[in-house]
Amino acid sequence: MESLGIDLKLLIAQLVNFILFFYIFKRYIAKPFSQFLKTELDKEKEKERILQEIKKKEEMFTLEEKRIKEKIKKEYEEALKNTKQEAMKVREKIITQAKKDAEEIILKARRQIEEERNEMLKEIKQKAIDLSLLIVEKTLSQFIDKEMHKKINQQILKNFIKRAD
Amino acid sequence: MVKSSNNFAEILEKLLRYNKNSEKTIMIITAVKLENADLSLIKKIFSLPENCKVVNKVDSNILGGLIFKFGSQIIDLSIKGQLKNFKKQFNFSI
Repeated sequence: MESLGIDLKLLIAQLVNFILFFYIFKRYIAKPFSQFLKTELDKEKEKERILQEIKKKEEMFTLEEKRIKEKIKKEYEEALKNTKQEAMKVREKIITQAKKDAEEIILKARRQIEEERNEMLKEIKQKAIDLSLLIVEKTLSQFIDKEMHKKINQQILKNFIKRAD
Repeated sequence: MVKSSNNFAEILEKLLRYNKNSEKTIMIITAVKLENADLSLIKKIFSLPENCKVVNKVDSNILGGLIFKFGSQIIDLSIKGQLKNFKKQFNFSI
């Protein structure tokens, strides 16, 4: 063994040293370190799991948000449609009423025109009669002389005589 | 109350009836003055008594004819009266 250059004592001492080192390392370094690594790993896993959960929840919220938005959009469109229909109905009603009012006004105006026309015609006829009679009066007053007056009076009296008989 | 009538029979009857009541004044309105002969004729036609006064009033506005006024009665036989009647009838027809 000595011819090979191996010192047995040294070897044993190194071996013991190694075993001691190994034991100490294993007990005081490796174990806690691996414990630490395990803890860290567990933490990582937990983090991962939480992240996953958060992601899931986020997806859920996004879906829910989308659903709510679509619902709101639908309701809005429905309300808009209903409002438009109502507005159209009101518009139709207003137009019908306006037409009716216009017809009534036209009818009333026609009646009024007719009445005024009749009134005017009546007035014109009256004036024509008055004027005609005035002309007749004037003409007669100029045309009938004394002799004619006498003849008229005599004729009237003759008629009385006839009736008396 | 004033009444007017153009119906000869009615006029005659009124005058005769009037005459029978008592002495009264009859006013005759003409466009020209009546002759005495006409006045006498009137008295004769309506059998007016002598004491019944017949007054002739001249009014050229009546245009012609006679208007008898006695008591509350007026009998319009004037041309103007006839024209007024025409006017009433025309107005009625309008």
